[in-house]
Amino acid sequence: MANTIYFAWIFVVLFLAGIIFYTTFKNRILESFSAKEIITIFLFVGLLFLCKIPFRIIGGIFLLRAVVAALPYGIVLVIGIRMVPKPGTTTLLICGEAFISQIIATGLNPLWWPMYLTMSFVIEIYCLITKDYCSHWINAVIVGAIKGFLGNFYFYVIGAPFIFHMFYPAWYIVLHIIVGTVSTGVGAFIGYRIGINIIKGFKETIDF
Amino acid sequence: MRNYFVEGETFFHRLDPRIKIYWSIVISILIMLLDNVAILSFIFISCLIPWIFVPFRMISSYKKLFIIVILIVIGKSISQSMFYKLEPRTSILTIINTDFPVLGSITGGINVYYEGFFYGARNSIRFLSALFLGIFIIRTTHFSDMILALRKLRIPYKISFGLSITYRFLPLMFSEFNRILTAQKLRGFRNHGLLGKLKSLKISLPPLIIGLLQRSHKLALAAEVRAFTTERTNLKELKFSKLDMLAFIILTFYLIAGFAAYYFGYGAIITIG
Repeated sequence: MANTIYFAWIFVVLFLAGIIFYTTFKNRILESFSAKEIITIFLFVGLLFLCKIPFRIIGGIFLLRAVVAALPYGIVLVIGIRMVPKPGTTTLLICGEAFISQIIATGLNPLWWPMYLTMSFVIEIYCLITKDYCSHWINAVIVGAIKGFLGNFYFYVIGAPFIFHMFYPAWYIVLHIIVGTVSTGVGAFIGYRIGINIIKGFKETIDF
Repeated sequence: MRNYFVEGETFFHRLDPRIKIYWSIVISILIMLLDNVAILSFIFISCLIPWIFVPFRMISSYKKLFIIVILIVIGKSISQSMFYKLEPRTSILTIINTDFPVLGSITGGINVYYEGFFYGARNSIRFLSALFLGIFIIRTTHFSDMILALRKLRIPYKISFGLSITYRFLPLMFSEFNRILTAQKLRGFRNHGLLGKLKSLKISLPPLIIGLLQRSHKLALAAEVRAFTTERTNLKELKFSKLDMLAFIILTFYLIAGFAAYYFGYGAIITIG
């Protein structure tokens, strides 16, 4: 049973990766990004990394990790997606931040890469299906919730038993997934609200 | 904000970053695959040994690293002593009884198990192996070399360019973030505690993002003037030396030996929930 879930998960990740890879390279999505868009996305990558710094220590405490790290991340992620509403933005934001974070602070660790890839791919697919890049608050909240859900699901259901071989009871896993999903969703909603004023204010000064 | 890279002329500094990425992947696979205490300890020691050969000044932050190690070992031991599932297990303390109102039925009772404590300590070796190797790699590899390695691994130029931009502007963004916070503090704002930190984030984000977007606008203009879309050449070129090849062969043997150990029954036990 355990192995079936594991291989099914790998299959899903590879399948999603294949779709994204195919679309990115076949349709030249990456080429469609202008210099301004690429620079904006990667400056937001830096901001995603920065907004987590004040919560590093508090984030290690039981359950607080799911709240304090998720909330600011959700805010910046949604504003970032709204600034460059295109396929590929989410992948660049999430995977870019993960890479920068590993290279600068936590150390290179490939064991976490599938988690970031999965989160990005699922959000990309959601945005592709809805044809909406967080321009509506409901979509912004769903994007945040997907990120929160998959991040916690990956750690407690895939990472803990299969990679780090740790035991966590079902109630503990469910609690973390719920708190993580809700707090990133709330963060995404705040991000949506803050983003309205920022985008409006910025568009008035510079044509973006 | 600090840069973890430490200048040096050691073998590890000269090692091709692609080999270092391969090294981290090999260790990740091995710690995921194997479960024997002796083998895990061997992997952990193999991740510690390279630290001996790097410049002494890197030891300056060993104290901080030591605290992290202690916290990881204690944290994993405590959590696994409560959630340990394998049999036999000896309960040494009951935190929540099964007949405790509400919590008892939700959690099914929480006990502290003697065996779980050691299981957690043993499993923290996995975290520590990945942590020590990861930190060692970023301490001996300059960011620009890592970006160059990514380009050699066929990562599109736009992505590697973007990552360089992030790295280049992080210190500036960090100081701007602090400047905004200082300005808010001078106006009487206090950011103590969790709520205070969240409030400070809410206050400082809009001006930070506006500044960031203005910067991206200027940067984009500068990049386009310098023909951003064309492929660029590099001052430094990555070349596979004999030492790199030797490291690659050793790591591959290491990986094969790991698979062999798994095949001969030293694999990890997988249990969910």
